[in-house]
Amino acid sequence: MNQRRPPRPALRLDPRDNVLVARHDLTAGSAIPAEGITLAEAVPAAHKLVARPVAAGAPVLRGGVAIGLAARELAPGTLLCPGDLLPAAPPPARAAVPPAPLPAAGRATFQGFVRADGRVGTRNTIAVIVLVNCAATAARQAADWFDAERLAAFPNVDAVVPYIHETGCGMEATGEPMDLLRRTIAGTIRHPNTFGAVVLSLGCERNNLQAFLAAEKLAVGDRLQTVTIQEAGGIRATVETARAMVAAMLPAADRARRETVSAEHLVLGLQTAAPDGFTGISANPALGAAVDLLLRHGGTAILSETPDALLAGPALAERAATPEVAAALAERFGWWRDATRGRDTPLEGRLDRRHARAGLASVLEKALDGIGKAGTAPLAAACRYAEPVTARGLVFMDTPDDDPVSVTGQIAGGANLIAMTTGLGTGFGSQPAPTVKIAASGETFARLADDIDLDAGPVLDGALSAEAMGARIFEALLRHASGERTKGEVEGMGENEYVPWPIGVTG
Amino acid sequence: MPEGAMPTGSAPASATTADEPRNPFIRLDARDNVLVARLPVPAGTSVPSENTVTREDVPAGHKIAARWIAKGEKVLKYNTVIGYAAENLPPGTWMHSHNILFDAVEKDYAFGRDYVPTEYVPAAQRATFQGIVRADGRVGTRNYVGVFVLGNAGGTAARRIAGWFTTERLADFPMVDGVVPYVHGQGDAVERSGEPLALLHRTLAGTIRHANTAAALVIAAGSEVDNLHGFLRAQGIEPGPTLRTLVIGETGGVRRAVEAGTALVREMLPAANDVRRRPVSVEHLTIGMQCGGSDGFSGLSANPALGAAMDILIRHGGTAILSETGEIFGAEHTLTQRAVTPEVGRKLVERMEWWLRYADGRDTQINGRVSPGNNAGGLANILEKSLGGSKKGGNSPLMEVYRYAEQVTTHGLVFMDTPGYDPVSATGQIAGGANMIMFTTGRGSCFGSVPAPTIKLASNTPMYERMKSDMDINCGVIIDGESTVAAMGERIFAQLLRHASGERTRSELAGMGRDEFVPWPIGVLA
Repeated sequence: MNQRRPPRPALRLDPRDNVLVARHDLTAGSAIPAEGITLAEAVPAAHKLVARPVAAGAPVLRGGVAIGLAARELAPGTLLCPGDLLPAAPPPARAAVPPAPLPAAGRATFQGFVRADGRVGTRNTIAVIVLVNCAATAARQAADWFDAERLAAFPNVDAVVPYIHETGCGMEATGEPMDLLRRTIAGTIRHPNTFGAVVLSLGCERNNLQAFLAAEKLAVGDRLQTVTIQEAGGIRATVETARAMVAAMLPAADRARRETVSAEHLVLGLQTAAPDGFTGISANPALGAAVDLLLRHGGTAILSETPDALLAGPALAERAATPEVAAALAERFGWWRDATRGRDTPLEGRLDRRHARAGLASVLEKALDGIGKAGTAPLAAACRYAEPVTARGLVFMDTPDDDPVSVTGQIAGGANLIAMTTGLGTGFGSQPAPTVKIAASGETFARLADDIDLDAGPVLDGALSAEAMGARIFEALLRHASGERTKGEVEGMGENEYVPWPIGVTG
Repeated sequence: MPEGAMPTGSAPASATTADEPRNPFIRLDARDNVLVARLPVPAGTSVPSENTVTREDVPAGHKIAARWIAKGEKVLKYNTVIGYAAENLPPGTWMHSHNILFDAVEKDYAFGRDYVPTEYVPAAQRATFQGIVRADGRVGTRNYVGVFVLGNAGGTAARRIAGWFTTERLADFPMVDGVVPYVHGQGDAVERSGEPLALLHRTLAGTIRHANTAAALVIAAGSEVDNLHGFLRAQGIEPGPTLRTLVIGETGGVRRAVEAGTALVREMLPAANDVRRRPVSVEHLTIGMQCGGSDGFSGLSANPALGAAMDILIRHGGTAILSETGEIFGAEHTLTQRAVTPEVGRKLVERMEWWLRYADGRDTQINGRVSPGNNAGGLANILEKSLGGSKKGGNSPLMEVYRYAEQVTTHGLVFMDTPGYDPVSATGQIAGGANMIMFTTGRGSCFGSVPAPTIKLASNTPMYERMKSDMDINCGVIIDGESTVAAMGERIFAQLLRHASGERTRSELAGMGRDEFVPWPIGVLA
């Protein structure tokens, strides 16, 4: 248990609120003097307790916003459960605040790899990537050969990374599933953090090599090589050929050097993993403040996790900067409603048990918490999964909530850094763009000190404002972009978390 | 060594000799109006058996018209409809997807009409192999320790734990074939109830409980849709000395989870190592049949030869699982006709109808178009591919139809509903209890699997020669005229028993299987 109990037993987020958030595990009979209530039952940390009588049908307010309507009369001192709530309409939009840009000379900088097309890498890697699962073992054996010892002579190369996935054949030969897979793979190859790539194919797969290269306008050359197993004569020959190709790229890759560049070259993918009842109070608003700051410095942030974006309602949808962006968002939302109709997903309104156990009370609460990490700027663009992000500012990319799938799409779209908030904690990591993880509470940060980079707990405990924490996060992002390794990198995460969105029919 | 089973000193691929005395084309049935090229045949080559001349170049494994075929007429191979002529086609015309139209064909399901009970070999005379008999009476062909993840979030930890157990570190445990990770992309945001989650869970549970899995460590991150203990309870899996669990969120992070998991596996190794192989009847063999990268020869050599081997296995009391539902489309009536009961036959048709709805409007092979490799190999469409693919099932009666990853308990030829995609299909068969996989290939797939190993059968000699280090058996000798389907069936059966007894397959030697565990992603990811 906690040796040092946080100062306040429960958090009041807004004077209008009729529920509070338990700061730590509270037992039945505990008093909350500031509210003049005594708990009728135990309330676990990060869960909500009723502070004032709520009539059946009345809004349950957290942070001044209705997260649901009371399903029955709720008495002060009781635990608020998802079953106590009926769906409430999402809150109206607040006007988006366009970021006030800083003059170019006053912008923050980081140390990045400037590539020929002007994009900037935060890491310098070589990819061994498969068009189909049938080449997976070959790719892993080829890439794993380049361990720290064999890369010692190439100090400017961060890693040789295998990108392995489960699909590429037995799938729809044309249409969005194949287009999506191809642009994900191509986006990974073209990523500014990928110096060069070796593409492995089997030879007979639906995701045919020549068709892939043509569709994605990729040209084979010094920095893009291909091996087809059926032509090379099998796995062993393929592994040897691929290793030789990587070895040939290493000297040139090692000549890349970091230089000082403007923060406007940062493309930050925003993520939440394993949220709890604290995430929306501390880590997400702090990351939102960091995003607002990044945008003022000319950078780009990508919000995703479409189920949350959709459920949040006008609070996100009405932030579209133009009618075109609004239409693109609406089209994606429509697709999701069709795709999930009759399926047991959060879009049907029932909260995941794991989220309920972590203190969240409704899908609306989780959704509003989720979009909090995107700050206050208008949406400059909305794109499909893994599409290249070319707009500057706050961009929406359609992805599922699922962390590896969502991050894979953001990185393929050009994100060169990921910022991931978490309530319960996660060990997630990604390649070729690293993930910076931010804990919502000091307890989670302390419990997972090997995995989590930043602690937003001081915001939860009132020791730091979200803005001050945002500034701290922004500085950390610049350091990690400049090469300081994240916890996920130190732990070797990322090779098993490459998961292109499996969107079609497996046949 | 596998070489022992190979035809030594076999003739070079017949493509080299211009004055090849053999007919360059194969006639598969007297009623057929197409022939299959044994080797690449240039335009203008005489085909004496049909009194015609090739009008175009014909790649190996592709077809020509044997006589005039009128526009709209059925194109017959193995006396089975593989499509309809797109135009009037003179003899000698190269016949492929450009002039064979894919359309619906009439099928007579005739449920159970041709059912003939299997003539079993008397129990005392049945073949045996060296198997590992488990406490519940099931028999393993390998002895692995598995590191499983409930969801993708445990993937890196699982791979690092398993990766720690190198050959060197396992030297004191000679009966343990390896510590292998089962990493997959699902689990954190799948549908929370219904078939998608049930399917994922029974796939994991079937692999954990597999007769080839001596011990298992099951890892959860703590963020999955369902929690670890709920999963174990629902699947009736009891933690114990050979089944340990680990929740990353409870250990204090990935590094500590890897340390704890490695220690748990080490604790399980002595028990896992405490097994012996002993002779057991082949009735304990359950073969998952697969084909991947099929070509025009697959249905002429490797598939029927495997079918002959499976007919032998079944007479000895064993079990063979045919799958890849979309790849028997068009030939399913050949199975329903020999179903043991009309109900079993109808189950197959019911699954086929599910697939037609599921894939409606999608560009998948059940709607006609096969993969680029299949097409290049001479298969015009799914009907022709299915015709060849279903030959793996031999002539035995169809005894039962299972859903993906369901436990196979009926002996004989059974069907399991899976996609055609190899890693997904084999993962379901193994979860259902297959303790060996037999995989035919024309183009040269390199698939491998754990905990049940994969034996690969080449359909043609040139590919076998090119990919010798990945192929276990060459069935191309049938095309070359050096062996027959029946003789190859005997040879395949004999080699199967050696591999089931522990002799490593090519894919095991290449270290395959650690990246090919792919539960069918059937649901919507949110």
